[in-house]
Amino acid sequence: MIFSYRIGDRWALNNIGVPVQGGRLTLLTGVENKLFGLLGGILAGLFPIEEQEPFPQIEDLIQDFTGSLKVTEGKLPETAIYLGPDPEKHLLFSRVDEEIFAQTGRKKELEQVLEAFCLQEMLLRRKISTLSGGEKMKLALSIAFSKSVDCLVLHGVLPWLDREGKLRLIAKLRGKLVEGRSVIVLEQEIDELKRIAHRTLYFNGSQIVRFDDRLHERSQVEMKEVSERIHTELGGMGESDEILRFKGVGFSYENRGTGDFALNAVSFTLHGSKVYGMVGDNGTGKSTIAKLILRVLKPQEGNIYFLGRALPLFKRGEIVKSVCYVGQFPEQHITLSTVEQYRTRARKMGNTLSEQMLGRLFPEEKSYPVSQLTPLQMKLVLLLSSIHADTRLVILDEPTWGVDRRGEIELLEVFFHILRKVKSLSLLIISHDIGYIERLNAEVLLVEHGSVSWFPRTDSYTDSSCGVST
Amino acid sequence: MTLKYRLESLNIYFKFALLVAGAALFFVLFPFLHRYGTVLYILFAFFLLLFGVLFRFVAGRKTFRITLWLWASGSLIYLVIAFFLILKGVQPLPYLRMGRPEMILYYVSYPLRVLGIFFSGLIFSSITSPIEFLRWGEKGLKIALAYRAFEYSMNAFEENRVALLIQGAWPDFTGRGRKLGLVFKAVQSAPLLVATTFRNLILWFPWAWICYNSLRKNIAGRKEK
Repeated sequence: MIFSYRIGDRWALNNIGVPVQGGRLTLLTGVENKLFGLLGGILAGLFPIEEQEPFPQIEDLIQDFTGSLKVTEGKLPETAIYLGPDPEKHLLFSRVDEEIFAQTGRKKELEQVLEAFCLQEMLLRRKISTLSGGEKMKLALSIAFSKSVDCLVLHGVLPWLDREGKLRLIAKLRGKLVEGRSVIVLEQEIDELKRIAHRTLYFNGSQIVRFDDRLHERSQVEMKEVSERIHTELGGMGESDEILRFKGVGFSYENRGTGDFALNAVSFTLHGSKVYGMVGDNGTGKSTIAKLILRVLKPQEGNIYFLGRALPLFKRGEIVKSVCYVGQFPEQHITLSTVEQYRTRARKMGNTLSEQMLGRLFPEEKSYPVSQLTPLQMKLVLLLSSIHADTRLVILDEPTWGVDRRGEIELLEVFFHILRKVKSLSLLIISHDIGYIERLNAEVLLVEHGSVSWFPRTDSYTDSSCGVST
Repeated sequence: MTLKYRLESLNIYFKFALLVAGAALFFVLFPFLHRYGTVLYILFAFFLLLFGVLFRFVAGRKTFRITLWLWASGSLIYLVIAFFLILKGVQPLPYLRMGRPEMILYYVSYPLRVLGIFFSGLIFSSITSPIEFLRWGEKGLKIALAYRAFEYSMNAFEENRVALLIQGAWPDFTGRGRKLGLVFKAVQSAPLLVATTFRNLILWFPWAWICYNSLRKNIAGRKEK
């Protein structure tokens, strides 16, 4: 199928050719910009959006997506589903059972829908807002796969899935292909998907071109190089002190409706000048541990020590200076309108390091409205605006979400430059992507069944409890 | 079966009745309270307490506390303004002439009226799901979207509050520090929190609109079959 898409007076996408064929999987990778998502939406028939004459205000809000589509060869699939990188946008109701009922029309045996991605039946009565990010994505995928459509378009779903989820996804995709459905996957983590893809293409920011394996290999090499530079820099810092210690920490959420989630007697210690990775299945509590470190949540049992002092004794300002956190969804954490405002704030607070680094990446001539930044740029703004000369721990929560391969390297490059300015700094990466953690050669913490343990070998990390094995 | 579950299982019309009753109790009847004196004020306080307890049970301790903090910070600003209005003798209602004691009572109890309306609205939102509006067809779908937008903004509000807390721009009530100073900081940061929530709602809305349109077609397709 070849198509063009016009927004306003310009062609946003021109002569884009994507094979849409029953029983075939097309894998699209490349530059993660707004057009990449638009492309997926067009293939799934979401765009162009019908005009909303009775609601001119809504028309204003959706004008960035509204346009005219010109198909010059082939045709759009009759029925299609699009699932984008933020499941929150696809889940429209309050509770899991309501969502499945509204989306599929099923009144009974709703648990069968959940089984597709090994979600437990007890989730049915849970509020969607209480699910972890990975559980939300698994729910959205379970619903998508329960529908009978000609074409399935998935965009950026892999960064949400744990090992088990990824295996399930691949098995489900295979099933759809056997049924003769067409599948299009827009993804950055392509290693596993390439094995079942019939064609892999590359989006260079405006056009679709042939995927070049050498480009992919080069990015792997660059990633390895920057990782080595980070380790060399850290190694040169000599003996490292303890920076963080969890001692018998217990925590559970109230009002979740299931009572099954809990961190039990979690104990581990992180040292300075190290790279750590934290992996674990969806909903096991990785982000909860980050929140405990940031003192957003309080442990119900045990103690957390930071730099040898009990965390409750710290003033908030001290935590802000010592721990730098970049969340998965940067837009939730961006509170100022332009990068210029962040630079000005850093200057006023006497944070020279932050001011300099922001100025280096975002030169002063422009103000850079935050709304026009890519997810990677937003993450960089957050990282650089919260870094301080006294920072001892940088936490990156799912750094690969919404970021392409080039962006992953850029993020690490920036961290490398920070390392040269801030001594005894440690990096803690929370990620579902074990491959990414492996490439960083990080020391790995595995969060599993409410406890945390050191994990020496990432290659054997798998859970086949759902009947899927490598 | 919990109280919340029982309330959630109620018919949507009963839930609306509860909402309207709350609005009537705390908003419409209020200007007439002073005519009937202390008894009605005691009754008003009783209902406020009742709705407060109900809200605490359906929304949970954390949401209850946040609501009270937000209400308290807003009320603090209001009371400063009200103080000057009372000093200048500004009549609060154009259709009623009040004496000084009545006026003070009216101005001072105004935040309580707002709190009551907060409670009834939030109880309604805690026990109602957007899916309940789908029974009204196309219009119901639009109400469901509007309601989902409200739910989303509630969640976004909490997420943004946490983000501000991490950045040191929202007071940390669990930490050390003078409580009054923390309240002042909450009042100071509240506009930023509201503005960020609103911006995120605007960013979310286009995609939600697209997804609801897709659901509309999906439901129509199922009905045709």
